[in-house]
Amino acid sequence: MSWSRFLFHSLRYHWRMHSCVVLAVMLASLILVGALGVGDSVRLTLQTFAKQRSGSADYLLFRANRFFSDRMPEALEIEGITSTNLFLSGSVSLPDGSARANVCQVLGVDSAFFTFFDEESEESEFAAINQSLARRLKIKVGDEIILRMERPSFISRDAPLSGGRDVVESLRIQVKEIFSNKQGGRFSIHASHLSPYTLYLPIDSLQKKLELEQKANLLLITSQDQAEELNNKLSSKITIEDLGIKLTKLTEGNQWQLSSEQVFLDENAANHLLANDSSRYGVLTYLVNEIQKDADSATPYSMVTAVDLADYPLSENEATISQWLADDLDVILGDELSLRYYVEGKDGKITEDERRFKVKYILPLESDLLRPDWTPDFPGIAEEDNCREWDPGVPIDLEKIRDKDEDYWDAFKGTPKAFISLAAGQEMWGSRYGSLTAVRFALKNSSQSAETMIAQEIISVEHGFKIEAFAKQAKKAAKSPFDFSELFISFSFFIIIAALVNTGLFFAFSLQQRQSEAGLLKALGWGRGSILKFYLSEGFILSVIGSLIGAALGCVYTWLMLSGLETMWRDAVGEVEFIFTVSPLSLLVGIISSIMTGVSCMMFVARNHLTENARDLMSGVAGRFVVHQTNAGAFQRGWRSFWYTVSIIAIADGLGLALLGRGMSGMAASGAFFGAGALFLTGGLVLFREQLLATSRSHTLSLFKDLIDKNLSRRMGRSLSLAGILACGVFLVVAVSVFRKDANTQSHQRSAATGGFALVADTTVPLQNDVIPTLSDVKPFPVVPLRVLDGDEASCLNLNTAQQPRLLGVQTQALLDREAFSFVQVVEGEKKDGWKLLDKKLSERIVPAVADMNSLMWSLGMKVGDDLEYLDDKGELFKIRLVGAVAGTMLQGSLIISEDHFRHYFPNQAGYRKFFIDATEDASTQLAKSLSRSFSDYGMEVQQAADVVNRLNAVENTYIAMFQALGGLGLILGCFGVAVTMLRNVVERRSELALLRSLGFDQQHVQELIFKECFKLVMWGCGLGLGASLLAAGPALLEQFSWMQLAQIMGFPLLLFILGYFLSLFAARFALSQAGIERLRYE
Amino acid sequence: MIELNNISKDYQDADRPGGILTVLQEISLQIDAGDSVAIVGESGSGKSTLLNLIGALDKPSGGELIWQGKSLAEKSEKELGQFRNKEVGFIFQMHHLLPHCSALENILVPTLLNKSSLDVKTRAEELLIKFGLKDRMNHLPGKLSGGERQRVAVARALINQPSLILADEPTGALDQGNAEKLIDLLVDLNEREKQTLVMVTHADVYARRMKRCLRLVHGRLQDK
Repeated sequence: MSWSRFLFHSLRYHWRMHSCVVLAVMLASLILVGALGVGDSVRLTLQTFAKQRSGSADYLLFRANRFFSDRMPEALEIEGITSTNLFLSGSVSLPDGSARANVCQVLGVDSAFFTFFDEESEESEFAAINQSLARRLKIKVGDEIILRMERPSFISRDAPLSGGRDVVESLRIQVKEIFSNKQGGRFSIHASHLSPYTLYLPIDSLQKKLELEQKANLLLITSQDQAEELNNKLSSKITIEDLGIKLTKLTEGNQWQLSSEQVFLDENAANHLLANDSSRYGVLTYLVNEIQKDADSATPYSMVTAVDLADYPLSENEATISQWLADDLDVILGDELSLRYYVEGKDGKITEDERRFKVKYILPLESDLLRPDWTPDFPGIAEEDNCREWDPGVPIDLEKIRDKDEDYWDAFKGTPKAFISLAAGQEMWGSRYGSLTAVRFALKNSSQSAETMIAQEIISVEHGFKIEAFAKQAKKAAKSPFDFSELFISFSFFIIIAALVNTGLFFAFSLQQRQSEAGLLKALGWGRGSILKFYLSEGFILSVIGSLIGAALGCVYTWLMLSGLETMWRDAVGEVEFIFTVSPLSLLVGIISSIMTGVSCMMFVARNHLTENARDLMSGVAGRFVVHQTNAGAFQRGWRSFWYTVSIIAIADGLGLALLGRGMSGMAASGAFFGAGALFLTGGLVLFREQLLATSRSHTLSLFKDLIDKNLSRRMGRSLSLAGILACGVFLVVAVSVFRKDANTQSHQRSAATGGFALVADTTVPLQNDVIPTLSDVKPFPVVPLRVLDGDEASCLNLNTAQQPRLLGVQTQALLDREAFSFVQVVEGEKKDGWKLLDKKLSERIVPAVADMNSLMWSLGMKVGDDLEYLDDKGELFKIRLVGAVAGTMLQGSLIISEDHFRHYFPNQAGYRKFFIDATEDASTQLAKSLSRSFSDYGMEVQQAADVVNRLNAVENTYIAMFQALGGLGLILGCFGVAVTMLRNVVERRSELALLRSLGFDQQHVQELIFKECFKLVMWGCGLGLGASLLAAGPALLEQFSWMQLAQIMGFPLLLFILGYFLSLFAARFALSQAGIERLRYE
Repeated sequence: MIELNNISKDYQDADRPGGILTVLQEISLQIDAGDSVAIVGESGSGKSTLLNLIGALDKPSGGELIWQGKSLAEKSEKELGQFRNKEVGFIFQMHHLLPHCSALENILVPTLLNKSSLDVKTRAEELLIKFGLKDRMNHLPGKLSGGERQRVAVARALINQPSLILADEPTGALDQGNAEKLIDLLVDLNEREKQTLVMVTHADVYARRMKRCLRLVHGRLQDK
C-alpha cells in the first residue's frame, strides 16, 4: 500500500471527525476571504464612483465666485475636448413644498458636457435632474420643480455697495430627463462617495436668467497635455475680458481707463500697474450718503471720486466740488463740508462714518472733469433710470431724494459732485475688496495693442485661475482613509480566533480518538517525524478542502456584509450601492492564510500529542491528565499568598484606573478603560485559579463541590483558558458598547458635542449681515453665524479621503464667551482658551485652524500642528495650520478658522450659510419650524444640534454595532469550541464517570457533576467579563446612567450565560451517555 | 442476604438469528451474609455481567434479584445508587483511581454523596495505614505502584463499610506477589469483618480460597 493510499483510506475512515476540522478551517477561510472581499468591493465602488464623478474629464478650472468668458476655451486652443459650464448651488423643492433638497448643484451645461460621461450620448433634453435628486423628491420625468438660487454677483455681497439684497431667483422647471450615474449623474467637484443632488440646465438659459451672459465658472478638459502645459497656455492666452476687466477709451485724448466688473480692482494687479508707470493714476469713486454743510443743508446720495489730479492738488482734508454742489449747499471756497458714508465695520457689519473736508476748488459745470466715467457700474445703481429705484445694498432713505437729485441723475448720471485726494479716499473707503475702482493712463497706441499690453501686465501678476488635475484628484480621493478589509478582519477577529481554536480543538480531538493508531504506528517503528508528517498531510488536505469551500462561501459573506452596509449598517456609509467583487488576489491570500493558520494549529496540537510513548498511546491513556502535584508547606503557602496579593493588587489597580479615567478624555480615557478592564480580568483569573487550587491543596474531599473544583484544576491551563477567553470576549464585546455615543444626554452643556447649541441651520443662499438679526427676530435667541467655503466633507460620513475640507469662518469671541465645545489638544496654552488660537498671528499667509479630532484622524489622516494648502479668492496659495482639536463634536467635517481670516482670504464668499442657534429645549422645535418656514427662500434647513451630532455618532455607533454583532457571533462560535472541549473532557473521562456510577453516583449525580463543572467555567468567564466591563464602564455609567445602556451591557453576557447553561446541560447529557459501566471493562 | 431467582440477561444482536444474544440463563443463587463466593468461567461466559447484576450496575432481562428480602427491581435509580454506595463495594481489574486525586482523596470519593464527617477521613486514613500505605496517603495514583493502586481501590470499596464486596478479576493486572497479597487482604476482610465477598476470577488458585466456587458455562451456573 502506498503512502497516498494509506492517507486516502485514513481520510475516508475518519471522515466524520475530519468534517469538523474542515468546517473549522472553512470558517477561517470564509471570514478572511469575506473580509478581504469587502475591502475589494469598497475600493472598486469608490474607484467607480470617482470615475463617474469626473467622467473622462482630466482637468478642471473652477472658481466659485470668479467668472470667466465662456469663449475662453477657444482662445486657449486646447487639443482635446472642453466644456464650459456654470456651476452654482440652489435648493430644489416640489411646487407644493412637500419635499425639498437644500444643497443642490445647479449646473448650466453646454452640449459637450455629456460627452465626458457617455460618448454616444444623444442630445439631452433639459431640464434634467440626477437620480439622487429624483429619489429625494420622489419625482419622475414630466413633474415640475421649483429652483431657488442666489443670483451671482461679481462683487462680494458683503461689500457696502454690492447691490440689493433681493438676490434669490426662483424658477419653475419641468423635468425632462433623469440622468443615471453613468450619464453624469454623479458629477461633483467635491470628493464624496455619496451622489450629490444635481439639476442640469442649458448654460445659455441659465446665463440669461442670472444675467451672466457669456460667463462661466467651470471648465472641464480632456486633453493629453500635462496640467503645467495647460496652465502655461492659460497664462499666455487668457484675456482681460476673460478676467472681467474693462479697458475703456475715454472720450478725450488718449486717456484710457481700466475698470473691473467686480467694481473694485484687484489690489495686486492695480498696484502692479501703478508701479510700472508713474503716469498712471488710481481712482476710487464711492457713494456717499450725504454731503452736508450744516444741519439745514445737505445733498443726499452723491458720488465722490478720490483721485490725485495734477491741476487740482489736494491735501487729505481738502476737496474739489462741482458748481452744482456748491449751489445746492450754498458753499464757497474755504467752507467745510462733511461727508457721511457707509463702510464695512470690523465685525463685517455696515456702519456709517463721517469725515470733514475744506472746499479748495469749485469746478464749473462745463469742466472736463465732471464726467460720469469716473464712476464704476455699482450694482443696483448704474442700471437704474432714476434715483428712487436705487438698490445699492446699503440702507437708502428714499425720502431724502429730492427732485433736483433726480434731475441731476437724469442729466449727469454718476458724475461725481466732489473730488478728494486718493489717500483720503482710500483711507475712508479702501477695504478687503480693493481700494481702487479704476486706473487711468495715457496711451498713444491703438486700443488693441493697449489691451494686449495691459493684459500682459495684469496676467503676469496673477490671474487667479488654475487648471487642476481633476481625474487624478478624484482617483486620489477615492482611496478610503481606512481599509475596509482591515476593518472587517478586526471586526471578525473573534470569529477568526474561534475558527482557529476550533480547528485546533477538533484536530486534537480527532488525534485523541486515534491515539492507539499513533501508538501502533510508533510501535511499528514509525518515527515521530513520520507520524507527524502523516497527520499533517491529512491536516493539509483537510485545510485545502476547508479553505476552498470557505473561499467560495467567503464570497457569500462579502455579499452579506455589503448588504448589511447597505441596509442595517447604512448609518456608517450612507446610501451607497456597493459593487460586489472579490479579487483573485484576495481569494489567494484568504485561501493560503487559512491553510497556513489551519496547518499551524494542527501542527501545534499534533506535536504535543505525539510526545507520549507508544505504550501510553496504545493503551489510550496518553495525554489524559497533567495533574498539579501540590504539597502543602511553607513554600506553597508563600506562593498562595503571593498570588492572592497579585489578584487583589490587580483588581484594586483596575478600580483605581477606572476612577482615574473619569477625568480623562480621548485616547487616554480609552487607555484607562481597557487598562482597568485588563487588570480586573487578570486579577479575577488569578483569583479563580487560586480558588480551584485551594481544594487541591486541602488534600481531602469533603463536599461534592470539592470534586468539581478538583476536576477543573486537573487541567488548570484548559480551565483558565476557557474562562479567560470567555471573559475577554465578553469584556471586549460588551465594553465597547460604552463607547456608543448619544448626543441627547448633556447636549445642553456648552462643553458637549453640540457646544450647548440647540439648533444648527444651513442655508443654500447666504444670509447677509443685515438679514442675520431677523433670525433672532423670529425668537430672541443668540445666534452664532458662520461663513462657509464649500469643500470636501471631512467627516466619517465620507468614505473618500478629504482633499480640501470645507472651511467655516467663525466669530471666535462668540465661541470663547460661551466656552463652547471641549478641546482635547492645543498647540500651546490652556485647552479652555483653545478658540483664542484662531486669532493668533502666525507667519505670513499661515492661518490657524481648529478641527474635530475625528476629522483629523479618520478623514484627513493629519494631526494638530500639520498644514494644509488652500487657494484664496485671488487664486494665491496660503496655508492653514491645525492649532487645536475638539473631540466628537458637530464641527466634524470642516476646518474652523476665524471670521477675520476668512474674510481676508475669501472676500468673495459673502454672507453666512451656517448658524449655531441657542434656544431652550422647549422652544427649539417650534423655533426650527419657524425658521425653516421664514427662510425657505434661502433654502434654510434647521436641525436639532443633537440630531446632527447623533448622525455623526451613528457612524461610530454603527461600527461598534458591527463589531459587537460579528464579535458576538465569534464568541458564540467560541462557545461551541468550549462545548467541544467540554465534550472532549467527558470522552476522556468516561471510564471515570462509569466508575463514579459504580461507586453509587446515580445518573443525576453524574449529570450534576459535569453540568456544574462546565457551568462554573461559563459563570466565571461571563462573570469576570461582565465585572471588568462594569468596572471599566462604571464611571461613564455613573455620569450618565441610563437603563438602556445598562441593559446593553448586561444583555450579551446574559445571552452567553443562557447559551452556556444549555451547552453545559448538553455536555452533562452527553456525559451520561458516556458513563456506561461497560467502559470499565474496556479499560 | 442476596438471592438471584432465575436471572437471565439478553443483549440485542442483529447478527444473530432472532437478533438476541443471551449471556445469562435462569441463574438462581443465594449468597448469605459473611459468605465468600468465587465465580469462574471462560472469557465471555458472563462473569462480569453477573457481577454487575448483583451490584445493580445493570438490570436483568428476566428473573428477580432480592436484597435482604426486597426486590432490587422495585428500587428507583436513586435508590439503586444509594444501594451501591452504602451496601456494595466494587473492586475492578483496573484500579480506576481518579488521576487528579491523591490516594486519600480517591478513597473519600464514595463518601461525597453522604454528609461529610471527620470520622470518614479518619477511617480512610486508618484503611490506608492498615493496607500499608501510610506514607503514600497524599500521593497521586501516577506515583503509586500497581499493587498500591489496587490496595487504594480496595480501601475505596471499603470506605462506606459495605456488607457486600464485589471484585471483578481484582488480580488481573497484578503480578503474582501483589495478587496474593490482595487475595490475603480480601479473605482477611471476609473472615474478620464478616463482609460478604463475591469475586470473579480466572485463577483457580484464588478461587479456591473462597468458601464457595461456582462456574459459569454457556450462561448457566454450575457448582464446581
